Amino acid sequence: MKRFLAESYCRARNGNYRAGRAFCFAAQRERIYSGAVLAAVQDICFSVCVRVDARDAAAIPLRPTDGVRMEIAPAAVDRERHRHKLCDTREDAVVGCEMTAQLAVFFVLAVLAVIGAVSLILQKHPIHSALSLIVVIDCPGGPVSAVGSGVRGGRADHCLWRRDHGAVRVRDHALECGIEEHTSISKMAGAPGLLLVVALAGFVAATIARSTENIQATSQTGVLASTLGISNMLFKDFVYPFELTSFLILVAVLGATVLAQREKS
Amino acid sequence: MSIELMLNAVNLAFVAFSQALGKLDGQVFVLFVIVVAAAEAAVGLGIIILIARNRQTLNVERVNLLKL
Repeated sequence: MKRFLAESYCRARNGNYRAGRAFCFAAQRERIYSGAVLAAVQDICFSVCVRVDARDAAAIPLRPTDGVRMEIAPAAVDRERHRHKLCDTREDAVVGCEMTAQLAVFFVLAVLAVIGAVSLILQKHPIHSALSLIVVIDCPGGPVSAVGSGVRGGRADHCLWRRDHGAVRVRDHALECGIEEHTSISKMAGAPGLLLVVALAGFVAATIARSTENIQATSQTGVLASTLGISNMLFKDFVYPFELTSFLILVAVLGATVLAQREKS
Repeated sequence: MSIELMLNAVNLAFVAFSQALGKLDGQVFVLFVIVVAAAEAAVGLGIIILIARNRQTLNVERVNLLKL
């Protein structure tokens, strides 16, 4: 089996059968590791060219027509060890799975977002659903800013934060109208909610500070000018949809006012 | 609120793909989606206030006027 493999390898590389036999003897001396021995008789030598290669290794077709080609998917990470040593599978499992702080924040906030979404659907009381909605709205900003770690993530978090304030304003309006039924969960949501708001405020402040550093770093190099790009796109390329959405939100505000006004008795 | 959930998912996808592709179109669309969601939330708030005023409750189980 070793001889067969060595000869096949050498014929594939050089097309020289004698060189393959020499390599075969050298391989026997160096005791190359092989798995199961499948050939009972080693005297019959027939060469089969088997090329093990990545599918996207060559941009143009350079495949030989006289050999069998075994194609595999390219490896995600470099698993090849020094001098092709046998590797430990437990150590291999750790490669590429380093848990960074940003990745941990991403997973925690992603799980919170999913839990909030499920709670939003399952809750029967609108206030509970609104609280779940606040959790759902806040959590995506965290993964985006954690993964993006830049200006865009900070801006997305800022936008979501403003929407969160809108949701809180909705709840305050409901309180002013005297229509909220204080349930046990809504009463309990005061202190944890305050802690959550403080934690999120700190997270947003850290994100904005980090984004400011990135802005200062990139403005010097001129690589990123996303705010300028967005404003140019809004007021040049998308000016008609922008005016349409402003009209839409005006109509929505008027409709909400008409719906919510009290009838004069 | 489920619509809000879907709109937030779309926003997240827009921002992620905008970051991945290096284009700003996704972020502009996120702004439009936020405006539409705000309009929808305003109308929804008005409807909730009307329901609370007429039915004296906010329990969804008791909002069964259209239920067969």
